[in-house]
Amino acid sequence: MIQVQDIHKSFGSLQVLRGADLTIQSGETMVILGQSGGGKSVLLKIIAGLLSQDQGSVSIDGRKRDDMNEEEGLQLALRFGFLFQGAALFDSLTVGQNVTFALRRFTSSSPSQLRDIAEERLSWVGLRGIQDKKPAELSGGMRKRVGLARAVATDPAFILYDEPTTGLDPISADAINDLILSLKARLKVTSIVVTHDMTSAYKVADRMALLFEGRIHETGTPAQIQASSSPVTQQFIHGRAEGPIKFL
Amino acid sequence: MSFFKSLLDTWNEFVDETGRLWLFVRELLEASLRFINDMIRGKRLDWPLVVEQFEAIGARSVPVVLTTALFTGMVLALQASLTLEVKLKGVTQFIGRTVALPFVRELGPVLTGLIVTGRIGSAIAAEIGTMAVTEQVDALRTLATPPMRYLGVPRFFACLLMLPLLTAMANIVGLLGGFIVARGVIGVSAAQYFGDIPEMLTVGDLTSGLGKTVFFGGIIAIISCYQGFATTGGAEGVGRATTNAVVVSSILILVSDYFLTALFALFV
Repeated sequence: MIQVQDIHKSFGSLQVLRGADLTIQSGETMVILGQSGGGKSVLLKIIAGLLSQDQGSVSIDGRKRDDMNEEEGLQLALRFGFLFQGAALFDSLTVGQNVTFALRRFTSSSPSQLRDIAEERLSWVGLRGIQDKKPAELSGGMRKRVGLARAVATDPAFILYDEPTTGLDPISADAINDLILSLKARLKVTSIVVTHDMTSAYKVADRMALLFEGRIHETGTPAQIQASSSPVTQQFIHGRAEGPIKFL
Repeated sequence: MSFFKSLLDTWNEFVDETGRLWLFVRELLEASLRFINDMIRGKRLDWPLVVEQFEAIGARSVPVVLTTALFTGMVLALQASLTLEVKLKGVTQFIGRTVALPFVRELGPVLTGLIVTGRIGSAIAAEIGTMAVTEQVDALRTLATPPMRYLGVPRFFACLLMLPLLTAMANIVGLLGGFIVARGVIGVSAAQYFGDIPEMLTVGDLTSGLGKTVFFGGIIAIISCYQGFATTGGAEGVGRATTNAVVVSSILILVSDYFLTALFALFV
């Protein structure tokens, strides 16, 4: 379980998060919705330990992240998989080396075992026989899928997705949604998906949370969110320019 | 009023930047000491990364460093030949020391430092900067790999060790270049040229010249890695980081050269 309590974060004079609270139950997929530039990715990076909050705490399975020493922090990182918006594959490494990056560093697997693991993880995301290619040779959708294969290489307990469908055509985007669902079924992971793509959100979410003005405005199942009486929620899910949410 | 405000802002920015650089240096040194500690305790280390940087920073810099050293030695000998023969009426027996002293003490170390800054400092800042703006540095963290250890430490060690080696090679080639010209222009023999060098050049001169380059290597690695890790703002940011890395490292090499020379003069 991931608990986010009273998270504040500012960059200079810009207050991005102003007391965000959120609980993600084990095994569920939580989708965090919100405007572009509204702090969703910042919140996700705070949960992943990539950014530190100014105030508040993040607890993973009951232990506060801030109470962990460096070694514990590194061990925790291996329990997380993170899919970046632009995939963030290492340019200088092949696809296979990208996928097995953590395994090469933290296990004593032989090169042939690593190739087998890379091939298996790549097959999970529908990509076979591309281990020796470089990331520059792949399309945007393929890069995201390789990023996903890398994120699940260590059999993580938590997977964090930062705008997984942004920049993809609708068919590739739906393929990514299917992958999120299949990985959840296969690995029984707890997932957090940050997106402003409502089609994707409805498809993958067990619950949704709307981030507005630096706080979680509302949480609920997709059905509850759709039936919400909040003008803010209604404006966002229907994508209307007019309403309480101002254009950033 | 606005002039004073702008001055104050510049001062505040300078203080902030210095503070951030200092914290970065501390983090890099801590990561380097941890690497050495792990090495002593026989832990598994990223040797391939270190060796890769030795090759990138050391081996691949050899042609450009040696070419520069060769022609600098040659031009130094040409100037010295003209001065000694024409203006000092044939005092050509001192040609060896006239080339060797400035080359080994100053030109070799500083030129090597500046060339490596241009070739390697810019590459380090651009590579790490690109990784920073494309979230590859964050990706390392999510894969339980501290970026300072993975990217910073190998480059730091490689710069510290390769600069003195490159400078030693530059010294040899520079003196040989000087000999070629001295022989061609004023007909000095090898025995005269090389025999004159030990008359003036001491072990202290060699130690001081090579010792300074360890600091130059540290400056190049620290400034270039710092600029790379601090990169924001896409391609424009990478360009800015690269330029800053070269300009700041070059200036610090030239400024520190004076103080390091004075310092070595006290002890050597």
